[in-house]
Amino acid sequence: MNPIELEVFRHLFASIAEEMGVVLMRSSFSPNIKERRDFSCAIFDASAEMVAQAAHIPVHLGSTPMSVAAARQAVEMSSGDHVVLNDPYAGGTHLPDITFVSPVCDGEGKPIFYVANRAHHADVGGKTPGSLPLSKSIDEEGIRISPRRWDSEIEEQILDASRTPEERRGDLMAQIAANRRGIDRLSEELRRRGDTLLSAATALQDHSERFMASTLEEMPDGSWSFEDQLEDDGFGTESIAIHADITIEGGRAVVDFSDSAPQVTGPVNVPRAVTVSATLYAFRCLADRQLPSNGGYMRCIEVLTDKGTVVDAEAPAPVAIGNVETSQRITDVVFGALAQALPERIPAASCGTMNNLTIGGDDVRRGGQPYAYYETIAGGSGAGPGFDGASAVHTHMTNTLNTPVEALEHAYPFRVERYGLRRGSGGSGRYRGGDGVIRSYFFDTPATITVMTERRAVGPYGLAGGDAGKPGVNRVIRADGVDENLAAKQVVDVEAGDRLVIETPGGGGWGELKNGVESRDC
Amino acid sequence: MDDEEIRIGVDTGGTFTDVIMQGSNGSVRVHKLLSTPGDPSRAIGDGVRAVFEKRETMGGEVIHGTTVATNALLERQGGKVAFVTTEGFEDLLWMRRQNRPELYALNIELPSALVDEGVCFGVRERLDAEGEVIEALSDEAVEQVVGEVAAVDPDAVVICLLHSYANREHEERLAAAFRSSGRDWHVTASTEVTATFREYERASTTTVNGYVGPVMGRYLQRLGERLKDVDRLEVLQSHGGRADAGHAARLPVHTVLSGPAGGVVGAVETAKSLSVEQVISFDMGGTSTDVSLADGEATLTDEGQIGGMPLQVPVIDIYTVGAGGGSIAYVDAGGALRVGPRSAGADPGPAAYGRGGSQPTVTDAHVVLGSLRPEQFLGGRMKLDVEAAGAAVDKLGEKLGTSRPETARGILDVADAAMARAIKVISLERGHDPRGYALVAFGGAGGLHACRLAQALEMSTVVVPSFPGLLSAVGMLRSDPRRLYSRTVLRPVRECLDSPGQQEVREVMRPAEERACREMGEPEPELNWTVSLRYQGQSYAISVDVDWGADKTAWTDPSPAFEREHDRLYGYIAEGRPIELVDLRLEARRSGAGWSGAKATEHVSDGEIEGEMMTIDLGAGPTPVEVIARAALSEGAEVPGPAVITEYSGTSIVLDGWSATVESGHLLIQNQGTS
Repeated sequence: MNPIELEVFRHLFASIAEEMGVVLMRSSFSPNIKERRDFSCAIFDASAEMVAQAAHIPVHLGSTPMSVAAARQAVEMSSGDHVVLNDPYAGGTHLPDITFVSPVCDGEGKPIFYVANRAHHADVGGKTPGSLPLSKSIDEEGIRISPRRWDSEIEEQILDASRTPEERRGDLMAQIAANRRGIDRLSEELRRRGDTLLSAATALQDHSERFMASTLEEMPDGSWSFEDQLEDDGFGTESIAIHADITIEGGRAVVDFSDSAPQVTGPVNVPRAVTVSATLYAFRCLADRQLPSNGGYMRCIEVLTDKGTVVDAEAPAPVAIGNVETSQRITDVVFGALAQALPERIPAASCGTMNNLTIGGDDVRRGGQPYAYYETIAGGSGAGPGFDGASAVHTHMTNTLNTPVEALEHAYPFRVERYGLRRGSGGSGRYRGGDGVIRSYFFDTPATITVMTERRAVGPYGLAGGDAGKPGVNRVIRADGVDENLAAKQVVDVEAGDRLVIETPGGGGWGELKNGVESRDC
Repeated sequence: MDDEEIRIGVDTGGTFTDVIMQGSNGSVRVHKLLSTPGDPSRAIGDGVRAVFEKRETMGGEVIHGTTVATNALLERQGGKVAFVTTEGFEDLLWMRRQNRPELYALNIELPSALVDEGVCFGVRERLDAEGEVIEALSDEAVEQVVGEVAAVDPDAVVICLLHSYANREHEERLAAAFRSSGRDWHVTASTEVTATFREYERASTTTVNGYVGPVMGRYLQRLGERLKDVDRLEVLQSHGGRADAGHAARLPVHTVLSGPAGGVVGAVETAKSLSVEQVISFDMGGTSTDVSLADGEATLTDEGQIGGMPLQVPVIDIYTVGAGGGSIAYVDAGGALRVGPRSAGADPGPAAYGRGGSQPTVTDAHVVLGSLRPEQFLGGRMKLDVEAAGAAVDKLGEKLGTSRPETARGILDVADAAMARAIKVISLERGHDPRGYALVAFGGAGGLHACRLAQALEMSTVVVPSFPGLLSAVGMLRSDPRRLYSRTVLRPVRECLDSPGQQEVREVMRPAEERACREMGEPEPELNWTVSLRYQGQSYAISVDVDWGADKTAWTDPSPAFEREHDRLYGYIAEGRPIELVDLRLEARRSGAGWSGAKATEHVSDGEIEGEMMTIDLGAGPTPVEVIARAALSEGAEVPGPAVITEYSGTSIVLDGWSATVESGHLLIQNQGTS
């Protein structure tokens, strides 16, 4: 395929993936999907290699191809089938992320493309509302679906498992609608262009591989290592090491996580898919932004993990928050190693936690109907060579929007009392880390709160002599004024009149202060 | 002649100010003069006087499209704003939506805020989502914040309280206090701009209004003095309607996207004069291309943005892609040919401009293929350097291993792919099949690509308007006086259907209705209602028209219309799920009927059309085609493709299998296979 057709087909596939995303976002029901945009849509070839992905959530980058592979392996798909799955040990990431895979078939009924979308559902059962519990086994985290054909039976099972079945029903409909749109558009293009579409997909992947190879070739060859820790697993295991040894040579990278800690009791473990995603994301940031998002560039980066470690857990280890927290630490570790290779490019650590907060209870305004609310709170980004960090932004593995306070208070029976910058929380240095966020909530009815956070003891690291950002703080202030410090990971009940205050970490600073003068973000 | 009504459209661009005058008898006069960026009102005053040259008295109404507010915003040259909000949310403008604009950028660059951190004030008060008062706003709190604001001495005061869309009382009391403080502050309460929920978007939109308010006020005052002899001065709004200068000074946020809006209105009105209602406007300029879809009327959105800041007011839904005549073609790290978003701009410009540009652009590809005539560019004012264009294209060809014409054709194909994708975004992604639409092309390079794009998207009709270089000014001339209001309701639709429910809904809109009628004066504007609905639990609402019946007291259930639209857009109906009424929208409008029927100036023909032959490459190698000057074409003339039609402001290509006819002065280019 010539360089011109390549670009024509790139636009064509990308616009189909994007259109799927529009259908899903606009017609779904979970705030997670419609407001926070915690979903992604992609097209795959017959061998489950990605052809195009709409730019959404980095944590889905390397993990959706594994879903498609698992779906193919488990079910012989034909036209009209949809395969559903969420099992982290069979192509999934964590249970709230439900994935649909649907084939586009040729004249003989053989799949030649797959479309897939993954969306974060607000509740899929498990021991606490929002399905991100402080669990000791995946069995406590909600309904676990191995890849299977979508039918009314599995639909009923999902609805039965969820605390919010009506919302689930709507989101599942939206997910299927998104895949149908992708199938329709791909089928039209197949009629119009025939087999060229298949060879174009392969050519695009090869192109993306060459693109990444040339990016890696421009980097110095060598080996670098970095280690950082997860603070705790919620059950007493502390300082859980994530270790990366990176070797770059001749346009290829090998990232070896074998020296990471064994899997732990609490839910910070991740399946290998998440580790691959986090690593790919970091390398994606090094390439020109024009790098097309498909499976080709992933061929240049080999990720090594050992089974049974925190970065490649085995069933039935709990994984509920590994996807959101451990993925951030993996990114920090990969960047920490890359900073030694490219000191003039890589910034200090960002917030390093998604500050996950789940609130559940009964909504007295709606006749005691149960509700489950989930949000993640931004922090500061790391400063880098030549730039200050940004304040109050989501970094690295997430880019979800906040839920507007006015939308939140319309839908849920609690209030936000304060939402502002946490001034001075960014690490100082020649360039200053971005500031974190303070967000506080007021309850006038009882609720159960689950906080799942990191960087509560030690702040995100600085680089080149810059200071670390301030670690975060979680507190409950009781109606009688008693101030309780919460652990980084904790489930706590609140009563009428209580308040919850979350202060998120700032980003690390970059460079030494010269004569006490730092550049200020104005 | 003395009772003739006069209407004048004035468009201020970066380089030229375009003035077009039309009399109610159909006469048209146009004038183009250099803009005066330091004080744009100077060129306008001169231009308007020039079109009145042969008349004894000045008068009539001037409709003006201005980028004064836009530029003040983008260049951060606005006023000093004090931001007043509910206590606890003083940092609202920095919290944004917490996402970053570029997923893979390590240096996260956010647009700088329009307000300084030291001039944000929290007030003790609180409403809940239904508008019930949780904490009342005390007189002491009002007095205190007025004092605090006075101490920082701003130019403008912006007030945005949490949940004010559900109850405006607190905002109104604060606004009244600021306005009666005896200071010369430009005061805006958020609900005066947009009474819909989502606090960051509403606060940002209101802040933009306060920021550009003082600049716009001074500008309109100067302009009013220069145009004191005309009867009326109106300003084009970003939604394509117009409003009086007083409204524009009070709510300038409605003008910040009015520049491109003029072109879209012009395109839609042009198509209407050819009895075409379904339009995709295609404005291809030097650095970017704007596309927009219209079904008899431009599509609006309230999810617009400017410079990374959301605008929660209705604006014409225009999608911009970074591909234009000056876009640079290059080979990426993986060996694919890319075009844009980097642009050679106007200086040095494409290599063919001969001003030192050496990187190949879309324009250079056209020069190489012969579709731009070197000696006739801009009516011969600028001679194109064919050799420089060829050399630039060759450099790229060496990397690709392609010949000069192959490379040039490739550049155009890639540019077309980017533009076709933009058209898919506004059509297919929004549930419209582009094949049923006519492509109305304007801007410097629109006519060069329109036929090619239409062919790729299986569209069968292309229109190139008369005066393509003045289309924005034409749009201003044709725009209607119009106000749009929306109010968030957020109630199940079934609660709004019985008689008391209907009455309550009606009351929500009463103040807006009265305001529209009061401000727009006589004759009374028509009032059109729409509602936006969604399934309870969704976030994105769908607008449907409401039938209020003859006596405007009772409305029919909009749910069936909503479900039909939901099915069309998303492919399913969620049976049995409750439907929620999100926003009520009111359009107050006075249609300017009777004016658009006037024909553009007659073109004079010298008998037989006789074109020069030239060789151009339309994709299948060099082909001899006829080159025709548009000025030589009279009404009804027909030009079969392949052909090239040239005029001062652009060149139009008619591909093989297509044919152009002149209708109402416009070029109507149709695919012969399908029409």
